Amino acid sequence: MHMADALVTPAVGVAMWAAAAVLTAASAKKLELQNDDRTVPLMGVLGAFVFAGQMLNFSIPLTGSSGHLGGGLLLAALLGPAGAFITIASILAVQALIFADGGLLAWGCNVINLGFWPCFVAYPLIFKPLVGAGTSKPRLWLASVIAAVVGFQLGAFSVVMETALSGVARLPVVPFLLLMQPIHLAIGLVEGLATAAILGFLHQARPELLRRDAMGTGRSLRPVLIGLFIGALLIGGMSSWFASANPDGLEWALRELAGSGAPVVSGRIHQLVAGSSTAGIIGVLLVFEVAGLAGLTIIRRRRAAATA
Amino acid sequence: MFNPAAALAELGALDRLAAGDTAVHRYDPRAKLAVTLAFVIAVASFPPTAFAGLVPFALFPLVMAIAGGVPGRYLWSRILWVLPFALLLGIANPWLDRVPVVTVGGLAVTGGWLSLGSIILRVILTVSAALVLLATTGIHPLCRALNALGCPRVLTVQVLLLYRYLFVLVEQSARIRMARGLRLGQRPTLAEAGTLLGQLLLRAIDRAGRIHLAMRSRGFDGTFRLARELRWIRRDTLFLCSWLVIFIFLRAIDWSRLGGGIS
Repeated sequence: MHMADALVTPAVGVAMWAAAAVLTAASAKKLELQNDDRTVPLMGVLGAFVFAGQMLNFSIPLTGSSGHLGGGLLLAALLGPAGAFITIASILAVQALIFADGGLLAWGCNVINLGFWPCFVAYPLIFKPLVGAGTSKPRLWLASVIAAVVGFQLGAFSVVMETALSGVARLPVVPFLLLMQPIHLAIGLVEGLATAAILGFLHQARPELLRRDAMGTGRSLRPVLIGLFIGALLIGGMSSWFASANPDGLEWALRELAGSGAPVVSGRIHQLVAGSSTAGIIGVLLVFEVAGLAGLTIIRRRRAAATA
Repeated sequence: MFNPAAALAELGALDRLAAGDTAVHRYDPRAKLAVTLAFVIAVASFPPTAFAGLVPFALFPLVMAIAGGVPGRYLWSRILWVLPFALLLGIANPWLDRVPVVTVGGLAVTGGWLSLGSIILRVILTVSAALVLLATTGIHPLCRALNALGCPRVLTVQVLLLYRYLFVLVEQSARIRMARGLRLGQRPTLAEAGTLLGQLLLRAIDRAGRIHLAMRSRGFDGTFRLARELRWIRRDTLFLCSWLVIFIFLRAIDWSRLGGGIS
């Protein structure tokens, strides 16, 4: 069951819509550039297949709840991240419109939870490096399971964050997390096994279907970077809302030893910005700048050294 | 489990309803889409414990369903199907939030119960709005409307292809089921189910490839053309503006003053 409109506020819903829209536009651009004729019918039929697969609920023992497959990792392995993301977006759109599974406002949230994490994070960063050339079966199973589990953990985490930020379902964050993450661990395991089984079957029956793009050729990291940047901004902006008011380790130690807590800064800017979302966002931007500059400098130095 | 016949009937029902020709069907799909999105945003913008304020919003799906010829039984069956999941997530609210907010006839109602009721109401409202939209618009015009509002063509073509291939897939699976049932009779084991699923996937991929080739050789270039071109007329502006005004009005009224205390 995907997130319903009843669970999100317009602020969260629209924000996630914006993120999903950016990624959709970027993926569409990428697909148009590829212009692979084979991908179009494949996206349609795999979308239908995963759609049907998502209707199968398997019960998770000992919890009294059930889970269903996501299919993001499988789609990414067969269509590439951009194609898989568009396919997941279309599946969620059809489910929201026709089967009332997942709301219109919550579509953006669902696309990020079920599409972004498996297609742009789990597949390129975990599955592809682990699976290598793709001829070794144990590696395929290992890569599928790990990538699926990580993808689902991240997805479940974003569901909790979106629900908590909306505040309609008054579930306290920590118990909700403790409930969601283990269940999605089990679901991720099943998803990984199912993905590996299907990929193994296709490797035997129709090897030409499996993506042949070698590591690093023509594969653009930009959607991943954009998505990670947005994610970092969101986390930086919002984590201050959940920050505990209790003293941290250092402040507690200071209080015990010196009788007073952390030193108080009296500067005006610090008072304006401290502890708020602005601080988080400024922090992310600063880190992005610094890391980006450092990375560029390193690359330039390396290139200079290589040509010298 | 996946029931091909029921799924096919479900998809077909919506197609048939969308092919109707009532006054609602004739409005521009862009107007209907915009109004539905505004409706969903208005409903979602209520605070978590709002209940009475949400009830008047039922006007929109009711009017559209009645004027658009959408059978109430169909709407209800879809809503009932979705309600248990909404209940599941809101069911903890009465235990988590026990602060009494309002008194109704001597009984103190806590914020938790109000927010649970609010969640249920929101689900009913948003689900019926989405279903009525599709039942009075049809997926082709709706995708055209999405394109007009800026949705990338790749996504809408994919939605349309997905929609059509669902029928292909269901047909294939029904055929495989029947063939197997005629030969063996009893239910398949897990290993058999896996092989059957693999066969289904391969057949569906092949069939989809052939269909796509056929479409290409008939000149398909990624754009779906409608029998009726989209034309925005004054009636559509009236439709859009009147519903927007109604939503803003209903949202802005402070119902707690009028309703005697239930917010």
